[in-house]
Amino acid sequence: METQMTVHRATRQNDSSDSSAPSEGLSEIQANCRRLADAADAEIERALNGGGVNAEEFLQSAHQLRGGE
Amino acid sequence: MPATHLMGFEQEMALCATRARGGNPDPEMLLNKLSAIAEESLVNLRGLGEGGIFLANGGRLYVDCLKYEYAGPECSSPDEIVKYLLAGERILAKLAGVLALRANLEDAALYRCNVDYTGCSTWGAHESYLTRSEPTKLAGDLIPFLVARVVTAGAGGFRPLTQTGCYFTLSPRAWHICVPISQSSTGPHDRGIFHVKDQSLSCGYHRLHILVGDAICSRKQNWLKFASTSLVVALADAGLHPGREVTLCAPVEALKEFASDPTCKTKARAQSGRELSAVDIQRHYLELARTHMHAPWMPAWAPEAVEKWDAMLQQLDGAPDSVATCLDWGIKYRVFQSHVEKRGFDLQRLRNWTHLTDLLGRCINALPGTASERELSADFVLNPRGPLRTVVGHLTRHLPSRGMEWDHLQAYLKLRSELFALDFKFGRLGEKGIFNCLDRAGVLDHGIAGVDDAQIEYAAANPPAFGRAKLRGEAIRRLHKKSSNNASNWTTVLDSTRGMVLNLGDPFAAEEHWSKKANQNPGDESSF
Repeated sequence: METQMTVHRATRQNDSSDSSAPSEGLSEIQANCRRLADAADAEIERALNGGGVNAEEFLQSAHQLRGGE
Repeated sequence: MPATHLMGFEQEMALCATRARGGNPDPEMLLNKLSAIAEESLVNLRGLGEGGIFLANGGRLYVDCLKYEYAGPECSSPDEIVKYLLAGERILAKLAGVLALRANLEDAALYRCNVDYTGCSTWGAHESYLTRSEPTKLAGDLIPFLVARVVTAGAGGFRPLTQTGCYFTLSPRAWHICVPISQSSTGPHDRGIFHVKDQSLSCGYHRLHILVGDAICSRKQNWLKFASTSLVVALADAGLHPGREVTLCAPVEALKEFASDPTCKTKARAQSGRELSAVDIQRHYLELARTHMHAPWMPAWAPEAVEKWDAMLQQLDGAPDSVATCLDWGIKYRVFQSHVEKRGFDLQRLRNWTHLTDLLGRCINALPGTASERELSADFVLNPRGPLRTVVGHLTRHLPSRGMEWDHLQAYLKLRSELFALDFKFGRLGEKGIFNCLDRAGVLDHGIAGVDDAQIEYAAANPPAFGRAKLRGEAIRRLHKKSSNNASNWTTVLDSTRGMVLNLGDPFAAEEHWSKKANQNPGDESSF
């Protein structure tokens, strides 16, 4: 049964050119996204540089302590 | 109004720590210390016939397979679920802080991380729903929903189990799911969308145990995840066969396809011949829930859940941007995109590099020698006398048309590690977690009206208002420190001093019924 499966990617319908969405709502969404990205910038640098280890070292260390299913 | 529906959760977490002088502490030693701190600092009784401790809030803390787990008490509403999830987070963040001090560590924290990007481990976020039906009878009705739920319940992250790639996914855990139905919860090759485990932990009911979900941070998302699933379970339990019209031809493949599309427009074929998106499938269940939301077998909060569920499905029309401040995967998508751009890449270039390094990874895997001798690094790949020189020479011709050059390989690999680390640190419990930092910055929109700070604090030390969890929590508070032989599990509390047991087999029990313990040996747990 599973081999009969077909999955396809539909055409993106939510491009910014989508005229059905109210422009007010869109600009609010974009403003929210911008605020999120700005706030994330500072947090990301802090998260990546915290603890004195780089991302690769952190991942290796987490892997060694991992546990998990 | 008395509770009519009960649900619960188990969250597995990774404990990570660093020493001030470098190097990793022994993980088993850390977990033992963490458990000891929990026992000494929290109101609790030891587990009766099972490991760990039971808490005055009715939940349980324990260690299993080198991971720390918090199982919440039985909750009767999605509001309660969110409160007890967050209460657990507070308890555990405090414990990790004490561990760091006592073990002289530079840092110690628990992470709600879902997957390990440098290995093949996964941490579960299991859900339990009380049902009248045997779980196996619900499989067909729930599988399409659990597949489609990924767009509203996914944590976001990257596809695990790829040695080289960097593919964003709505649900990292979805890639650990291999079969539609499974007996096992931990096997790497037979973890299922639907788990047939039927450990009821009660009399007269069954317990549906769902293991396909991710651990998520957003309150709104957790609320909807448990509310919508509980409604679908209620529909199936009532014999309405809600999944019959939307049965998918290949649910595991559909889960992964849905999880790969942040626009949520991808469609999968149903056995009816229709092509359905995840939102289409959820709408089918939603409309059925709306029709029956006032039925006596529906929870009192069903109308509110229907309204919120509907609103979220409408919001997904504009995904990913429209959910960038309320769903974990939407938040991560925007945060990761911002970081990718900051490092001088864009999503298209990231995809191009992912495809290229996938190809290089396959070439490297085909080389002789040990894994450590053939790692994917810029030095190894671009060594002019290295084993990949011919492949690199061939690929070089194709790079300029894609805006790529070999000088960027190292930057891509560094960025990839950073993205994985950011995903891991997103769900760190406590104030340093990225999600929690963003929340404090006021840029998220994930609050729940029925859940406030004082209620979360209360839930850390007190049980829910209804059912056996209330009785368990109250008994634990009374018996704590009275005798080391006092103990608890999900269905029983033992008062060894009086030789009495509190029977909690009825999950809706409203009054304490103590009876004489059959076996008077207080150290013997085998009779339970």
